[in-house]
Amino acid sequence: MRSFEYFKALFGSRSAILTTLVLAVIYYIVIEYIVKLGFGTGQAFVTVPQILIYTLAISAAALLTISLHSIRLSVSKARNEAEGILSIATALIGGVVAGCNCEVPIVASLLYLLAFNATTVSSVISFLANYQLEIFVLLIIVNVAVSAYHLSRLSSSCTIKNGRLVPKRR
Amino acid sequence: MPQSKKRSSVSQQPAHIAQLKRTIRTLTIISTTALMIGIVAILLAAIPIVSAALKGPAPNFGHTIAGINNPLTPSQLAVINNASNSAFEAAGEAFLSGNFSNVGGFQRVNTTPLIINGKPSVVYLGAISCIYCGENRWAMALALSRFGSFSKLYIGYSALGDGDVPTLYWLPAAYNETSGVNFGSNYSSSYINFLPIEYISPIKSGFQMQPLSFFQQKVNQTQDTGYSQAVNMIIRLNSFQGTPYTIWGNSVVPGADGSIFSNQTTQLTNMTHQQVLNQIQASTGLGSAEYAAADLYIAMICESINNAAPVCSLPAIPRIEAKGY
Repeated sequence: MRSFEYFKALFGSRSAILTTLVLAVIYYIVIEYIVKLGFGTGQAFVTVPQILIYTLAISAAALLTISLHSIRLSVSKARNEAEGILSIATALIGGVVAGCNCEVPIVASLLYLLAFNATTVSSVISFLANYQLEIFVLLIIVNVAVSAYHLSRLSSSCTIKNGRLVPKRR
Repeated sequence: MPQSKKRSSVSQQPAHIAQLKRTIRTLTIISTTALMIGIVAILLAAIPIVSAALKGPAPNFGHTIAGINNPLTPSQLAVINNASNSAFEAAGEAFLSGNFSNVGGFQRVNTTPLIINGKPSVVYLGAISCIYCGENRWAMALALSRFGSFSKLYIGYSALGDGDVPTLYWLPAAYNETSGVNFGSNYSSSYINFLPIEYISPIKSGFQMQPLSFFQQKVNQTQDTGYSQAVNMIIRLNSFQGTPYTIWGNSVVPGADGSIFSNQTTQLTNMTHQQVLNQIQASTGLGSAEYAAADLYIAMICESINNAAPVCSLPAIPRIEAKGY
């Protein structure tokens, strides 16, 4: 369970926990904002359980924290940046999916811009509506799986000393 | 030359140490993969539990499905059919004065109206599970009542997993059906045709929808040329972005009339049908906002019928037409 040891070492520091919490709050605000953005004025409805939105925000924040700390530890910058982008992307997609899918003006506008027709757009709306929960859970799985994978890869470039991650000497 | 150093240090390692390192690396990969598969399996196993939590009865949602599919009583129906013009006028003026921030805001698109039997058509595509359709039908019924009348309307709700708002159904809905569609209503008018298309899915789930090709297939089975033309028009217009989607003569509204779910003290989700009808009758709170939303639709129909109906002569209507939406 090397991943778990590296998880403990990384999140044993206050700075990592604080970073994750701050990022989770930011992601949560972003998700809620995107939901509201889809409905113009007035009240927007979030139709996935709130617990899943919190979980997505935290899992995306944890992934970004791991990426940021890995950059600090001088581990493959390109890969960390890619994972940082993935973390942001899952939160943004989560925001689009979390709202009531009876109206998806942002997604629809984007698809029409890409020259898709109404039949295709309606298929996307139908897919989002019928698999909303599954898509949301999948986004969380992606964050958790990539985080676990990344932590396991840290063993090649970092070592644990006194419960902290330090770069291996080359 | 760190690489050559590294290479030389590896080459200097005894064979059994190199073998041990390879074994450790293999075990690391296997354990990481196993960990990831385990996490994914746990999360996948959790989906039905989470899904059941989402789709189960929600005690805080409105009034569940009490009286669903029952026709409105004559006195309830009269609130819609016999609404007073003064209520439309007052709400229209209030809208023009900027009193309803939650009404309108949609992007209207001009089109050539669908003419059937010499009358322009109002086309509606919605779903019983859709919360915005649920709210929108109140304003739609009020607007349509100015150009004709409903002989029947039915008690309805949006899906329990999608807000459970009290609403009107155009026709009784088979709310346990996995996937179906209702075409039609009990509406008649000498000015316009009303062509509602309602997607039916289990009311205890959340919002569900089918692609437009599904409606095309269903309408072909009915061999109704009016509805066939309506569905083809929605596909041709290329502006569908969800439900409700309405066409009011020569105006297309790809979205709801606004977001009329609260009048600051009462949430639509917590009201009974009678409470909504009382507010419409008294033109107070949520009721007055529904009149304002209806005025926008009335203005669009009036544009399409050259202001031929008496309601088009209300002072607020041409001003709303001129202002846009």
